[in-house]
Amino acid sequence: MYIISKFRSGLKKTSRFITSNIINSLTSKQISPKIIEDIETALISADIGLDVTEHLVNKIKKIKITDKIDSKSILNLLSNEIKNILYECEQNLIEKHNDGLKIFLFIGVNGSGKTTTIGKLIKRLGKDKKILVAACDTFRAAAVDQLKKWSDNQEADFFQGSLNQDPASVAYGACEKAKNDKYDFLIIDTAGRLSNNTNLLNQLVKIKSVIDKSAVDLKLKTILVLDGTNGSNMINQVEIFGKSLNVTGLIITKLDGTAKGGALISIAKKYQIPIHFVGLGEQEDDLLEFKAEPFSHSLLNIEN
Amino acid sequence: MFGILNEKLEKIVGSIRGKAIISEDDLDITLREIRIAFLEADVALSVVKSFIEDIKSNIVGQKVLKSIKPDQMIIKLVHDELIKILGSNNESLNIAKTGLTKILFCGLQGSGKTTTVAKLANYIKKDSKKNILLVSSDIYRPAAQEQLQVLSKQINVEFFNHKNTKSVEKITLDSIKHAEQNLFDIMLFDTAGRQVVDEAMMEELKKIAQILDPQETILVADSLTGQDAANIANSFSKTVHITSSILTRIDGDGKGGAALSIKSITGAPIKFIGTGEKIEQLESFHPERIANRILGMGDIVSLVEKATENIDQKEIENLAKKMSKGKFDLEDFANQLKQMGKMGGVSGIMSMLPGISKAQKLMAENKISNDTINHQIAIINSMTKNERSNPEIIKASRKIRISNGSGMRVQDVNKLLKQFLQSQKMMKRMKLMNKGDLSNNLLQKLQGNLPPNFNH
Ligand SMILES: Nc1nc2c(ncn2[C@@H]2O[C@H](COP(=O)(O)OP(=O)(O)OP(=O)(O)O)[C@@H](O)[C@H]2O)c(=O)[nH]1
Ligand SMILES: Nc1nc2c(ncn2[C@@H]2O[C@H](COP(=O)(O)OP(=O)(O)OP(=O)(O)O)[C@@H](O)[C@H]2O)c(=O)[nH]1
Ligand SMILES: [Mg+2]
Ligand SMILES: [Mg+2]
Repeated sequence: MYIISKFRSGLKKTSRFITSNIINSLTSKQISPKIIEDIETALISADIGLDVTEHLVNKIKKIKITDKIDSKSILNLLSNEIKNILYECEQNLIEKHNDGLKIFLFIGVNGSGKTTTIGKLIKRLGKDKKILVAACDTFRAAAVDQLKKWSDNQEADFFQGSLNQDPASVAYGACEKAKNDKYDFLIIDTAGRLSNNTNLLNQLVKIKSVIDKSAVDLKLKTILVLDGTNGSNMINQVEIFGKSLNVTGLIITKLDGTAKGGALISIAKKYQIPIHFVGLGEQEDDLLEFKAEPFSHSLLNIEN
Repeated sequence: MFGILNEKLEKIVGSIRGKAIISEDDLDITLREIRIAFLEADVALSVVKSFIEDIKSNIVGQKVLKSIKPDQMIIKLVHDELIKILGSNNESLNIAKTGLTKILFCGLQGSGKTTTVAKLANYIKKDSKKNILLVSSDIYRPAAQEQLQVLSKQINVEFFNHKNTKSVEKITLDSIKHAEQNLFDIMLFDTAGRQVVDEAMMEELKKIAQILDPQETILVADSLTGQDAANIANSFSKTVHITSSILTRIDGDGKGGAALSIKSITGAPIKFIGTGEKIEQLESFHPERIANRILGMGDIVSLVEKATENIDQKEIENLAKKMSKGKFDLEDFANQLKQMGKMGGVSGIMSMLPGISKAQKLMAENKISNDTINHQIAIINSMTKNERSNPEIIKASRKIRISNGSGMRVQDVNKLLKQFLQSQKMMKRMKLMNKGDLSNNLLQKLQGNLPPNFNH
């Protein structure tokens, strides 16, 4: 329960707005066009795109007006709808009974939180695991230092190349080391890149194919880190990175602020893709498993 | 940026084109569609609402309704409203004539502050002899100090090393003292990323601003931001006096709504935009051009400016000379392609020409990309000097050799030769009307060069 309550308290600040809107709209106890508009407003402001908003609003419109309808029942209905869409996306990244080397390749747009999320993930994997962290961001100033600090703090082993070395060759070296020295996990950080930058996208494809070649029989997970403050562009990111890289799962960060990450709902509707974790802060413990129910409750600020 | 919005608005305006008068229903539908287009472009809802309201009230107040064509009127109103939000001219940095100018940077985590500090320092340094100091008060993010220090070395600007001071206030005070004692002209002050709900961190920012008393307080925001842009703009403006903003990641395929939201809510001008990870990738922001671009009116001015900025002046003169003699060979064609690459490639140029969304669609359909340019240059590089100046000698066996040498298919070689011939024709035609000045000329050349790319 700790996880859920932490998750909720983190998200609470973000969703007060929706609820107050809906509650205000319900004082008339009637689902009038005005109320519909207010619900629409609340949903759109949460970055829930127009399509999904329309879909949700249509569900509300179907409610028969009786005395029993109150703000709570409408919120529950909305949150159930959202939960049902997101439910399929719940999936642990860390499989419990799985021996041998597992490789996580982290990708995403600039500044989305890849490096920090890796730091948090090492903590979560636990000190009893043999973990190798590889710095394949050889471009950004002090990117290697940043990852190394996280890695050292969490007492993981660190692998880096020389300055400006081709990231794919660093990845290759890391794979070989991880195999030879029998690591449980290899986590690879990459430089941020925008999804429409073809050259940099191809660089990722190369990194991935090098890993695939070095580790044919091994499980590789390619994890796309989304910045929770992004709007509809998140959908583009999943689409384009997904197309060229076989993204196996998502992590969404920065939901500890006012952003709501509502675009996730469109993503879940459009792509069958797991959402592993939610980032709720900058500290090592601020990474929580993604769960549809608390997420949708929190989005609408429903108290249990 | 703004591509989708532009496409949508073109469509909306197109649907009322030709109508003699605009009925109330037409107007309602049009406004509703504009609302949807803006929301889909990630403009914050509150901003969209007031935008629509303003247009509505302007229409109501307008008596000339019958004398102007409805589509023109809508374009005009939307344009005026956009200009009202975005401002019309580029505004430059507020730099004190004498003494130390302090520029404070703030924003959410990962929005691009540290990178932008270095970019702006580099930008200022390029056309002034100002003595610049970079300071980072980010004592939280691992390697934040190192990041700015590395960047400062790259651009050869001094970095204030506070050697692990753990108090942000002390860093602020010490850096001012250091800057004043050492007669720096400009101090760029980086801060840690912060969420607006983090009261302690917002308080910290307020304190920094109080001590620093900066001439500029810049909000750095990610142009991919969604509806949250409204909260960011609101909260930062309430905490400190935002004097300008810089939008980063304009090089992405975001729809640019955050630019409107942030400008509209902070009221402070957007002075620069970040167009890539590299230090040179910072441009001054020209609102009117953007407004025109949103409306698909094209942006000839910025095309010409960008062209003259990036194109090698010598190359141009050479090209011009050859053209005036009626000579234009594959060597020149390769040069021309390279110049195009420098201007941000085909897509960079296209996005500045009128009818942008149509052109971009065509490009997508024909799969014309910056890679195409590089491939074409590779083909030409595989030719001998003789072949380049006498393309007509390139027959079957030479084509196969060139294809092998460049790693491209023979078809591609053929395609390139065909395109070259078309360009050559265009050049000849241009020679006949070769009277304008250099920049005019340049534009014609570019436009002349584009069509062959489209119909191969
Ligand atoms: N509030 C908050 N901040 C976060 C979260 N995740 C990451 N950050 C912050 O976001 C900023 C960018 O994070 P990084 O981990 O450097 O992002 P990145 O994707 O590795 O960035 P690049 O390598 O430059 O592309 C840092 O200041 C992090 O502390 C989160 O869940 N919440
Ligand atoms: N594509 C692109 N990337 C950019 C741009 N500006 C910054 N970046 C990248 O965005 C990422 C984050 O930039 P930083 O400068 O570290 O961001 P920050 O705001 O200082 O981050 P924190 O200090 O963690 O809050 C880096 O990978 C930068 O290279 C831009 O205009 N375009
Ligand atoms: Mg990183
Ligand atoms: Mg920074």
